[in-house]
Amino acid sequence: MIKIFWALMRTDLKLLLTQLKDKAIDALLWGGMTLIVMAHVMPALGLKNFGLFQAATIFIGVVGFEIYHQLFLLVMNIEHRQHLFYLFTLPVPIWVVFLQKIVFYTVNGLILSLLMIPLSKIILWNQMDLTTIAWGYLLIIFVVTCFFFSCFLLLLVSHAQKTDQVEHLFMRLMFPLWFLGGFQFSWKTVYDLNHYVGYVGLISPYTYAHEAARVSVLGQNGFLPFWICNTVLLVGSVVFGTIGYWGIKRKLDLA
Amino acid sequence: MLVELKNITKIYPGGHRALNNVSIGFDAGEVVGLLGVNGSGKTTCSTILAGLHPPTSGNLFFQGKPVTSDIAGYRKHVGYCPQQPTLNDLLNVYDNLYFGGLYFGLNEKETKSATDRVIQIFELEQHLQKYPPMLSGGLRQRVMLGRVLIHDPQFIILDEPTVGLDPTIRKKLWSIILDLKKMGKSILLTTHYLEEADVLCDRICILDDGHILKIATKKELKGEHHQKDLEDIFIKLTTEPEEE
Repeated sequence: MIKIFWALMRTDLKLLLTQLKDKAIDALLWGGMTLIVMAHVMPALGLKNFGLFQAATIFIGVVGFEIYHQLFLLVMNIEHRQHLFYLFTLPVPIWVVFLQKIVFYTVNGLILSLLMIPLSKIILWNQMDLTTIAWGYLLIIFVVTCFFFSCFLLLLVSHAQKTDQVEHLFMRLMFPLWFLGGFQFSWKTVYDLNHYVGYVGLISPYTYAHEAARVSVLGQNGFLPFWICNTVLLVGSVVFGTIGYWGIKRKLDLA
Repeated sequence: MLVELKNITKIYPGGHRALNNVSIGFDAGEVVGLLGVNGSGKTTCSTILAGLHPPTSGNLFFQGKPVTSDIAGYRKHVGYCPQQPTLNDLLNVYDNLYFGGLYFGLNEKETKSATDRVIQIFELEQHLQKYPPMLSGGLRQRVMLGRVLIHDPQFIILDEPTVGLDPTIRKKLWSIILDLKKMGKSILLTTHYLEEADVLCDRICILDDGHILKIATKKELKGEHHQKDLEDIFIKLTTEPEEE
């Protein structure tokens, strides 16, 4: 089983290597543009400099876009009964195929996320002091977030019937979760404005990922507790991953 | 019996009954042809035998043991070639075959030698660096068949394998199937080409609307219906219920 799991990983990693340059360019462009605007353009309008605040969460946006890409590929694969169906005939239980996908998406997301660190330093330069960052915390939340979204992806796949629904799913579900999940503000800011809206924000998994990432870069003060955020994301990974797995298995009527 | 379906019924979500109490056995070194019009249940039967979809009721046995307790172990002995292409479009022909070997637990050395073997059998030497979307339908099918054989399965399921193949390659595939049979492999062949079934199959199973209409050797079928042509027997059997 481990041999086959590793063979599946090798295939995906080989393909990732061939696509990495393009993926990196896309991620760096999006992340770079966002940071430049937040750190250098917005302050010119008299607004407070949010560069570092934004840098802490930019990697989560990158993971989110990657999830969208993978969601599209998986749904297309299922819709046209392509390569994925061959994998379901391999001599391993079906859950091994999905576990391998989760591990691969986590690695894939992690590689793209890590690219955001040098990018942020270059763009923010003096605004980003590398010595004040809690690197251990940052690495933990990078891994936990990438793992969470890989599991969440299974849930999305179990709900998307066709490729033309993927865009709707992304715009109607993922975008609001991401943007209202504190991409450009802390949870406390919203909670102070309106408690009820704050509670609603707790529904979004992005809130926990964003908050924990900011704790790693800016310190605990003013954000949700780091370990609670990680716990919520890990519990969510297990719950969404399991529901997603059974949903796909039922949808595809797999043995 | 190497593989046996016993009283298999398959009802899809939504209520469509694709198979109704189907029982078929496959001996080693035997080619069984599964014939039927579109929607008769041939593909459903193939996917259940491949361990891809579960039956609603009934059992699948491998070497006399039910496979439900170890479906993954059973799949190791099965080579399944579906109708639609399931190659990885992002890998070239060589890698599709090579990883196919690794996926079935072969080690590097075994995989390399198995890959070279199927490349030779299916004459793929000139196409190893090409990607599936660049291949013609026939060539893609040859790669699919090569991948099916890479782990040397005991039971081979070929779901309309010769559709879209030119006559030369089709005849080549026939000779490969006959070679596999001589090697003691058990083969399920679903096909629309009755001439193909006549040449290759030891027994013919005719499915209609999820039921087995007839399962017999070619000789028995021809003798029973006083016909020399399998096509006439097939038409007679599949239209009889409507005539009644």
